[in-house]
Amino acid sequence: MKKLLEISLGVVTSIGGFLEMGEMSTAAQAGAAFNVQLVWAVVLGTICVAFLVEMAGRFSAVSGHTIIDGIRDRFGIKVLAWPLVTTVLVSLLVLSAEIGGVSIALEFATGITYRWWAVPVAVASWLFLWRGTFGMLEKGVTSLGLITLCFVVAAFRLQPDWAQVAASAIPSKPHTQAATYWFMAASILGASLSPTLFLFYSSGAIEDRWDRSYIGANRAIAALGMTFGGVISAAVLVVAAQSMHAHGIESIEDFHQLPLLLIDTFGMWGFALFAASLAIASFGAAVEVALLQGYLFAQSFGWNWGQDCPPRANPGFSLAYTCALVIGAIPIAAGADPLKLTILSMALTAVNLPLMVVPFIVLMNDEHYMGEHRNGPVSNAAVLGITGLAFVLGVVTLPLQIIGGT
Amino acid sequence: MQHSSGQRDGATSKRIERDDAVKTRAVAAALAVTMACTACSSSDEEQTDARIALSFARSASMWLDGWMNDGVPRAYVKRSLESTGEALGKRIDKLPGSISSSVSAPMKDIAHDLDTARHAVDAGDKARVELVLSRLRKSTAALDAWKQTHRESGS
Repeated sequence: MKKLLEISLGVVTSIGGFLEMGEMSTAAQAGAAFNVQLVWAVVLGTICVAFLVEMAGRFSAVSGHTIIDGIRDRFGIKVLAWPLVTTVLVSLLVLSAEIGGVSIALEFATGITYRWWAVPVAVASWLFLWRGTFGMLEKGVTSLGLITLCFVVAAFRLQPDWAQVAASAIPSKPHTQAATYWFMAASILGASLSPTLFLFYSSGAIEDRWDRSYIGANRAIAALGMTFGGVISAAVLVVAAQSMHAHGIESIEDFHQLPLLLIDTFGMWGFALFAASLAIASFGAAVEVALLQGYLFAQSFGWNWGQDCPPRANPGFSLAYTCALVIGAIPIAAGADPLKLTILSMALTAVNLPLMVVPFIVLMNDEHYMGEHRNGPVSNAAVLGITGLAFVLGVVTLPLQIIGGT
Repeated sequence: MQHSSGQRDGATSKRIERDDAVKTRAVAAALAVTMACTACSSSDEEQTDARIALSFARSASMWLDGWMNDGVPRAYVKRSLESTGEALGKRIDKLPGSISSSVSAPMKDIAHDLDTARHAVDAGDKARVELVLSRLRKSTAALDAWKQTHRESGS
């Protein structure tokens, strides 16, 4: 009974914590520009992230290590240095994007321009981490994230052609704007497969003291939580296709266009729902990404870490997330466009993926760590195949997008 | 095996000639690719500009409709019109001289309408907003017509 409750809570928090600024922006832009044609990218991203999250939980439950800890233990600090540096840099960009997400939600709510909110949002996130516990983040903020289910309701109310949506789950070539199409696919995959998610999940499993008895619960949480999370992400894309593409809005260049996703369906309530969804989802993600910086540094250098311990017991860990929040707030306070920053950071995440995923896959196949719970060929093939696709798409389309190709 | 000085000079000069030919072909190929890309990007840029202007105009129509029906807050509509107006203005400033007036003229009209709409919303002038909405419909129809012919002609 206790396990069932834990699975339910895990699934609920996975769903609530799935959508954030990156998922929302990439899915919305894709739906506006290409109707439902890019649903396949959401489907592939969801399949891959379900595998990655399941593997992350299984690895921690069986080996008693986090992924970072495992890579350092298995390959040494020199090999870990590359993925560590790039993941820290890309995560800082993602952190800026999430702080930007909360800031623009606050601009919608108050009328005060987003730049002024960057520092208060960073301070609020820091206070949450400084004073809060892992349970507050895991169960509190992510449960509030269930508000993002309003996109699923909107998708049903807009009555799309479900047969067309289902057919779009199979990859297809674009009719126009090929470079933008593939770039959007890379960004969607980057948003779904962010290392933040599985590195955080692995650290969370250690914080929650998982052991081998959690392998079944972990599998259920990863499969159900990520699948339902993917459904919300696909719903955003469908809503964008119905409320924007169908009205001739084929380009989201300004973040002020984003609330139109729900205004079309719910009117004034849609505006409030969008602002609340964006604020809660991005705040949860900002806190998680900042905390991940603490995990990354502490686990790489062997410092004390743990969100449930007081900050004075983990000075390096606390300093890392504090610095991350300071650095993450700077671009937004300086006036960087949160939407453009988000799309760029998601594409860079896709490019950076193999650096963290490849050593992780090696660990997952290492008998010393995993024993009889090693990866099967299906897990290896799915994760390496989709990660490789995201990497190739990102590497090819990112320069084209930067120089303005369509 | 030793070669005489004359044989070596001949082989060297042939190699230099061959290298030069390869270099010339590479430069020609690079130029061709660059020219092709430039040609594509000029046409693509027109399409992108038209698409963005249309999206902004239609978003503005949705904001203004929402505001007229008290469905969205005035501060949000004002800020949205200001932000998209500025973004469109920047694009217009960067338009190349070669761009078709069928694209640039409606773009300028839309930018002007966004500015007028912002002032009208600020003043709470719903009659002026109605006028702007009808002008926006005309501009979007003009851009749509251009997009349609452009797509059909495949240029």
